[in-house]
Amino acid sequence: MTSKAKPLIEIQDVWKTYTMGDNKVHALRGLNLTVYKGEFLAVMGPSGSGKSTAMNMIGVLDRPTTGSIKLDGKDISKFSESGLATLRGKKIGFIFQKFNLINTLSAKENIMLPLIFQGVNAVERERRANELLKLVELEDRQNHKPSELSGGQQQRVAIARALAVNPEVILADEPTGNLDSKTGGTVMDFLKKLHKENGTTIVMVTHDEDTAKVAERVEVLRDGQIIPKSK
Amino acid sequence: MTLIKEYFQIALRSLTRRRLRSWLTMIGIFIGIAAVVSLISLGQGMRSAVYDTFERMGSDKLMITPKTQFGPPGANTGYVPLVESDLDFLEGISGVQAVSGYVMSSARIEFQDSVRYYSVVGIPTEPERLNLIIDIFATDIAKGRNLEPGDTFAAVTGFYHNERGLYAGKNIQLNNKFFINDQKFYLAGVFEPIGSSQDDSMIIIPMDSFRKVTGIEDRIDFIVVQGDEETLNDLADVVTRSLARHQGVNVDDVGFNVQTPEDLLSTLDTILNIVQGVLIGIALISLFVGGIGVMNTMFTSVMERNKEIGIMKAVGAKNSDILYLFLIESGLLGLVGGLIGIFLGVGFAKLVEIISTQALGKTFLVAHFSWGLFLGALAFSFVLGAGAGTLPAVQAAKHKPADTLRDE
Repeated sequence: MTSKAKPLIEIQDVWKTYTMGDNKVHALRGLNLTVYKGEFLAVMGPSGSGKSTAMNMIGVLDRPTTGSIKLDGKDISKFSESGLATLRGKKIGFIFQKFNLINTLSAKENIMLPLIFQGVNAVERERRANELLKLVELEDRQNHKPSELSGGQQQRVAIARALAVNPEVILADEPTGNLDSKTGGTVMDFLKKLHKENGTTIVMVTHDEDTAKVAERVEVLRDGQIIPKSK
Repeated sequence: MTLIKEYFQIALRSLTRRRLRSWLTMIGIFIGIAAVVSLISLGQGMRSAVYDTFERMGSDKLMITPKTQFGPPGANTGYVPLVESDLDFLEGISGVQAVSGYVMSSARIEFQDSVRYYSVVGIPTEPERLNLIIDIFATDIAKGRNLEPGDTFAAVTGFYHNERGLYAGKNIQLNNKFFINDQKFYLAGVFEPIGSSQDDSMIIIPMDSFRKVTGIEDRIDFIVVQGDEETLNDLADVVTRSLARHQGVNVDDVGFNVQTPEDLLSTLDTILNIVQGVLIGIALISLFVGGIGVMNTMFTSVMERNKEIGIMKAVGAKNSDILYLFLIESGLLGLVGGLIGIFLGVGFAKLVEIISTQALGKTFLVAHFSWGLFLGALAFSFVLGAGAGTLPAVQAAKHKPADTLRDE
């Protein structure tokens, strides 16, 4: 990534401490990470390295114990919880390992869900959902419930849902973790294409080196910190 | 809240997914609502039936009854009893237009070798007094004729004697002979059904014959005084004081009550209100329990759907969005429960109406339904559901998405 690119998410000296009984667990110990607009970043790390917590921070799902997080130049500590929700809804699209679709809603309704919370009207929601279903090649499955779809299809619905609001960044947490390698490969190809053709910023959290290779930049997380690059 | 339609759709989806649980939860609501709807509609029906009866009696009449609440007519209460000559005395009071009364006793009734005991009522046969007392009975003749001046051993009875096979399965037909305390009478007429077994099995005969067959002299059990509707309350005072003076007792120690139709109506109204109040109170307890059921279900639902809540928050749902979603969901439980309750309540009230009509032989109790009642019941059940769901919904809204999405 060129250094001229604009920073989208800036995480500075972030600590996250959980209290478990009498013990304090430091999930993050001074995390510093900047995500630039338009890049495809992979954050790698073994389990227990603080990946999930880092992902929560990048996705403003949680607030740090100390340290600062800026999204698009705005300090998130200044936002109320509802403000954060709106910010999330507008700027970040999530893709989860377990897809996390809502089981009672059809594929299309799942895609429209973020738009509902953004207050987008029904006609526009419909239009956008159809567009996305076409993009992820699931037009013929639009009325199926998640339980009626294969893992790969579910993940494509989740990608479509993540894209629904035209987010600044797609945040993918082990997006291939629940898929066989072939399907996983398809999903990765799709993310790559999305990045290349649409210039979408993608941050992917994974423990799998092969998956991480797809990204332009790889940062490694260990013990709640990014390991400095030797080269 | 501009997306209320979408919220309803999403809430409805999650309710139909847990269909059995939703139904079970709603049982508490719809039993309560059914009880409230049927009790209120029947109560209204009862009220208008009572008002109708009073309207037929007329609102220009005072009723004088002896103070014998705790015993049969004629029981010794230590008070000066009402006597037949009081009728003549009352007729002399200015403002009194007409006076009548009746006397009542149990008697042995024999028809074709079958013996039963029923209340026999003696009424005056002088034309003016006869008409006034017939007004008070507030019912019409179904067969034959009413008592007439000059009748001696004629009787008019409630329809039970004519239709219910009281005498070893046999009915007394018009002009049939039967015996009251061994005196032969004939059936001159039969009343329309009145609606209580006591009234519908009474036997009415001329006052003179009554005294002859029962041996009861002078006593009178009920006096009706007709006056002017406008000044009826004043007349009630005058009548009380005059009759007390006539009996030679202090006005505070009289052995009778003088009641205006207004008094009677308000007494009946009070009784109806208390009965209805108690019943509706019980129904409300059932609704309260139903509300707890909704709360319980919603708490369970919130716990089960931590992840779903987390997902919604991740894709931009604000705390308020989650709050509304769950409130609408529990409100819908209440609303649908209420809707079913209304149908059940209407059905139950109609059933009571049909059964009472068959039992009494007359349509006395007509359940009164109104849109106000239905809409009120619906609104109440929605608010009850939403109210019971408030705590769970607040709990759901407070969920931190990071907590719910982190677990593997």
